[in-house]
Amino acid sequence: MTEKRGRNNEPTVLVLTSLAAGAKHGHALARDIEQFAGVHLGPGSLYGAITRLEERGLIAPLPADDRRRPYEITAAGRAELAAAMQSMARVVATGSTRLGLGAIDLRPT
Amino acid sequence: MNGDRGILRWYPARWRERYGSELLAMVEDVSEGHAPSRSLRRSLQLAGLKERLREHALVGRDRPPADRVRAGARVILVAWAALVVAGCGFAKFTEHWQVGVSVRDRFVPDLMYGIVVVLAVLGALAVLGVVATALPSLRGALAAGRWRLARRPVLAACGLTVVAVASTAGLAAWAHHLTNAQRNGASLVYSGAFISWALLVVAMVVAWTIAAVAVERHVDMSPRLVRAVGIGASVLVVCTVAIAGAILVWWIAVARTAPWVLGSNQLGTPASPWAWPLAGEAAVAVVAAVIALLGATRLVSAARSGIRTR
Repeated sequence: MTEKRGRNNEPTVLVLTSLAAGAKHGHALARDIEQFAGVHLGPGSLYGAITRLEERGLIAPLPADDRRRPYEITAAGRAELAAAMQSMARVVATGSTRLGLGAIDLRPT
Repeated sequence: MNGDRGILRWYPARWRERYGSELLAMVEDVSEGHAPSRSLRRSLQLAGLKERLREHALVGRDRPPADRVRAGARVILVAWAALVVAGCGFAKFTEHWQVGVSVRDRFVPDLMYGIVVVLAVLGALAVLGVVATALPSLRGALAAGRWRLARRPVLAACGLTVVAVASTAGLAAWAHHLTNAQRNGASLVYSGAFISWALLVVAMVVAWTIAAVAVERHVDMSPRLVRAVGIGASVLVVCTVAIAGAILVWWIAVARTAPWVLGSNQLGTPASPWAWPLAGEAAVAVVAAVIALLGATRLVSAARSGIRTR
């Protein structure tokens, strides 16, 4: 994410955002992401993101429940997500100011 | 869901071992007990292919720059091998071209032919240069007992080379006793033998490319070697693209001034500029150039990420 930080529809950011609320397995992650971001991540894209995040130590696997393995966000993942959020917030603030929209309510809908 | 294990075939073995079971579980959840839809299968095939390319450092930026240089160089080597095959065909097809072209029309084809020859030698020297730079690392790999990991492809390439050299000698001796017409299509037996020999040469080039990639994967890359690979690969890209261009320009120039060269080679006879062997060779050369450029983008992306070659 270091090279693409700031793209809020980046699957890795979406996965980290979802896991920030608690551990989830693949299907639960996809449903949660669809709910809060309106982005449909298929199994291929989702597991591509999971692979990348696990390789970088940003998420960690938990013991599998049947064949469904939940993942949790790590401390490094939280730091990465926080940095991504700050970057996005700067873009949102700048865009809002330039469009004359004033302060935007950033609370989740 | 046993049938759905086929979906995972597109993923690399190591990935399947780690994530395969849980990915299939998710596919089951998403499909709600039905067979996975065609679009889901397609997206998984694509994702699996991407994962394979990533495993070989051919896509993505999450691998170290040195790995990406190696991956780019591998792609360029494959492109060069394809160009060698096309170039051999071009050399054979054009071996008597000057006979059919008047002296005043020879400048451009001569120039292009010269470019092909010079760049072919330059490309071969670049490959040899990289091999020479890699010798200490190769010795290290042998000392570390990694020979067995690349033994099979190397021995296969050596075996094919021995057969190809013996066949070349036999074919040359045979050709010596034939008339010009027999060597150029009148003898079906000789033509069949020649085509078999050409396929053998292609197989040999392919085998050496596979062997080179297999060896390279087990060699430790020093910064000096990474730099040499980068330079050698860049030279090959330039040679590949320029040779492909020169072949095309040669074809156009000859087709405009002496199209009979592309057909019967009887001076002044009407002939189509579309000679299928040349078209095939030119197509392979162009594809090789495109592949080489794709490899070059990998090299450039690695260089931009900052290769430390101290």
